[in-house]
Amino acid sequence: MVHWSAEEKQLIASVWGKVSVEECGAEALARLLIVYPWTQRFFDNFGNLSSPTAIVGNPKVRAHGKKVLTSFGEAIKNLENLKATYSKLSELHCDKLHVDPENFRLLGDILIIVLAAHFGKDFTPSCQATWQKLVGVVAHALAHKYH
Amino acid sequence: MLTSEDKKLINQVWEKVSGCQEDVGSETLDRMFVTYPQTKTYFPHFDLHHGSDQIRIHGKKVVAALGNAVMNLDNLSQALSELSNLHAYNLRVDPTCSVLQLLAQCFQVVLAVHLGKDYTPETHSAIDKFLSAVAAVLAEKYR
Repeated sequence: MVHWSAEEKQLIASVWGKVSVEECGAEALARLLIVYPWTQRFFDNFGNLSSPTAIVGNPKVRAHGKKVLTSFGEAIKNLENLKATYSKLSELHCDKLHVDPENFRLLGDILIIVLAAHFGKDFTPSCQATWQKLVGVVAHALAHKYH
Repeated sequence: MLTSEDKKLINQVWEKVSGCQEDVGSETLDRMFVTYPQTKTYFPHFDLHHGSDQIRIHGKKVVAALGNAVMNLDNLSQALSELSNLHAYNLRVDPTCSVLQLLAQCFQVVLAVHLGKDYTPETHSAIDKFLSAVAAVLAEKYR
């Protein structure tokens, strides 16, 4: 089980409190599809992904980005019990979606960059360290049920 | 592969950070040591406290080397040849556990902190590709 210090929990909560789930989610997913274009393989039915502009403006990308980050919010509410929280989602990503867990790490790193761009200097090294730990742990939980 | 648009964006970013290279360098290393403590193992001889002179000087070196890479985007292998030898034969920084990727992530975070909205998805993509290319060249001579 992962241990979270009081300081880490505070850093997570204070950043999360200021995040627009819709905006950050959309941006993170769009950047994943732009920076690592092979990830588009999971979104064949999303319509126009032909350019960065198309991806950023794509309503399905925005909606799905929001969904993904909303789910992230669930993780934050259940830091002590991530594996159970993500059990079903893990099975889904393995059995139905066939997503290589490496992609969770990529998305996590991108989310960090999105947060850094939004919060600027307020996204301190301690903030980054805590959030990199969080995205790592979430990625691990999502991969946990793979077989 | 870096397109001409990528190269343009990379040069634009470099212009924007040209005034604060030292800060960017030391902040990158600072973040790397805090976020990924295992990277400290390559600097047992350094004072790794926030704001240390050694971090500042080394950070400046790293950014200068990246700046040299930016000026030689069409010929990274040759431009980074000395550094590639250094990393392979002297420093022996583990290329497989993606240490250079961790440095790249922190560097991108620092750029995002400094550039905010100007760190657009297209810019992010170009810089990510550039840093991957640099890491690949640095690892070229390993075996």
